Amino acid sequence: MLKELSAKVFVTALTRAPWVSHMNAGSCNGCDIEIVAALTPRYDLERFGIKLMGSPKHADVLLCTGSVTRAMAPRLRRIYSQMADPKVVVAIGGCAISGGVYHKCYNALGGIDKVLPVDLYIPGCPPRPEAIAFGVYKLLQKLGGNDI
Amino acid sequence: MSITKYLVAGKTALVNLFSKPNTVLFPNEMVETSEDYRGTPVLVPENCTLCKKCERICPTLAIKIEKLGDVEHQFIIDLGRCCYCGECEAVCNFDSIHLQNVWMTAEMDREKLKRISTVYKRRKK
Amino acid sequence: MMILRILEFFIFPGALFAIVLSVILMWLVRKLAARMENRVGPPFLQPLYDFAKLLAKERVYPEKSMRLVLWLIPILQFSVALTMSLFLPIISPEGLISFDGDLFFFLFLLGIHGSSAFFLGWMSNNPYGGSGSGRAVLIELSFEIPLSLSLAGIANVARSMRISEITLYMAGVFFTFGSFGKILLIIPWSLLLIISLISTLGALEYNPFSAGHAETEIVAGWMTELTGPDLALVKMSEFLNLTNLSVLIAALFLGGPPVYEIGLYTRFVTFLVFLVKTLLVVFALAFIKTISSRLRVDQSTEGMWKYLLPLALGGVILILLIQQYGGA
Repeated sequence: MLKELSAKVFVTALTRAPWVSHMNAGSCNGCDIEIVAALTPRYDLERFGIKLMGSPKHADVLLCTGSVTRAMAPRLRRIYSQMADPKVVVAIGGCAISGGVYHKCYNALGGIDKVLPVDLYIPGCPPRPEAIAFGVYKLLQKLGGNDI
Repeated sequence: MSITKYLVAGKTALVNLFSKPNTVLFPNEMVETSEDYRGTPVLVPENCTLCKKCERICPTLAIKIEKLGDVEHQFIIDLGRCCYCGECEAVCNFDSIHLQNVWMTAEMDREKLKRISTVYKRRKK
Repeated sequence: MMILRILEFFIFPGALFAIVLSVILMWLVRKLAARMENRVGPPFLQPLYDFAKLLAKERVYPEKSMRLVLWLIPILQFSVALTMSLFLPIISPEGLISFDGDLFFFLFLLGIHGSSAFFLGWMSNNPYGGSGSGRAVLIELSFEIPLSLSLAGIANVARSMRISEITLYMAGVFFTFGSFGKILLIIPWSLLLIISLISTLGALEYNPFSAGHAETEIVAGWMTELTGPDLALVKMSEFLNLTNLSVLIAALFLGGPPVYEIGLYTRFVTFLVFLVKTLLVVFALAFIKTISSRLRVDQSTEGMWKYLLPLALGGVILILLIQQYGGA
């Protein structure tokens, strides 16, 4: 009874205060700029309690961009293993989902899901800030238990 | 670091405090996109002649046309690969592929990003 | 009677009330900052959700770090901040704990809180933590003296070292503009108020003096290696410190909760006046935080030592002169 209640309180708190950290795994910087644009006063993700943290150790959500380069893959794995449970990975942009325009590159693994378990895919090249906001909104609804 | 800069910043802050915020309240309001915005590519299966021009020109191999039966073909647009360049729309002679004003396409599942439609090959006249 | 006293310590106006008030004040600071930046800002009680979420998260310790220190110092910071909140005058000019010279005990606890951040960063075996803790302790060293001096100036006006007596005196002084000297005291009073507000920003590591955990250059400074409950306690002690310092400034400079006797609602009106004064101080803090950008650590120490310290000294000397020759 108490365990269920505390779990419910925690899930509510997590959906209302997801702190994000940003990881560039070989992106062209387009998606990174759109992530920053989603945090500006125009779109203001702090309405959902989302805060951009400097340290991935403080974050619950890892926003990954870029087709994963060979040099970046072990670092991505290491950053992920340093994050505290429970954690969520979001792949932003075409490169992070499948390699996108870099799909033939000799040095790109092509996609975050080759390295980490991805929970949300946000397509776009780059995605609009609202597309990122919508993706995060959808993820929060899913975590809270109501599907949209 | 002069004091006048701080005064200007303070005045702006006070003006902002007593005016309506500039934020678009997202799930309830939307930002209007421009008319030639290139969003999700959508196929019109009735117009398609399966000439495969779009499949050849796509720079990221996002379009795939697979033969299922004698006349039945599967037309797959993988949004996870698409780079929204609009080449397929430009190259199509039959107006059968359009980049529409749709961007709310985030999915939990990779397979759901593949937009699959069935196209039937038309007989030659 | 004993039970009532214990309830006072633990619920109102003690620990629980301090935590609730600091969560609300922290939300207010974030909301005000957001509105001044032309955006909507976080929903109500956002810091509480942050805290609850962090409490249930996993602990990750880095290799070769002193786990005991990483585990103990958040608890130390939280308990120190909670102890400081017991000195605050909330429903009466007298706090729950009050003795002669408690103003300087309060400042001593603030110093412990600031210097414990140094050990936390240093023991975490992380270059960001190390440099962040160095910066934090430098800023701590520079803001502490102007803050102490400005509070000492106010203590001189009231001729007491006890928070409750200073609060009582300052609450009364607004109605007794007796002599010319007392009106003259407004000049050093406003000077010391501004100085203490600025050095409070240093104590809370808010924006002009946030080099200690500058998230764009040294990840999160001295709290880089903290995770889960440890981070939650550090954050909560930060919230509590906001309450402590803003209530203290509201009490010492603006008079805090007054002691008017107006029948049935005395307690309520006292509490309300206290809230209004605290909110004024919090608004000033949020305003300065929003309009200023982060200074480098050498700039902030230079500003504190070169300008703030002489100004604070001048204010104290002015108060002494006015008391000697102005007949205040």
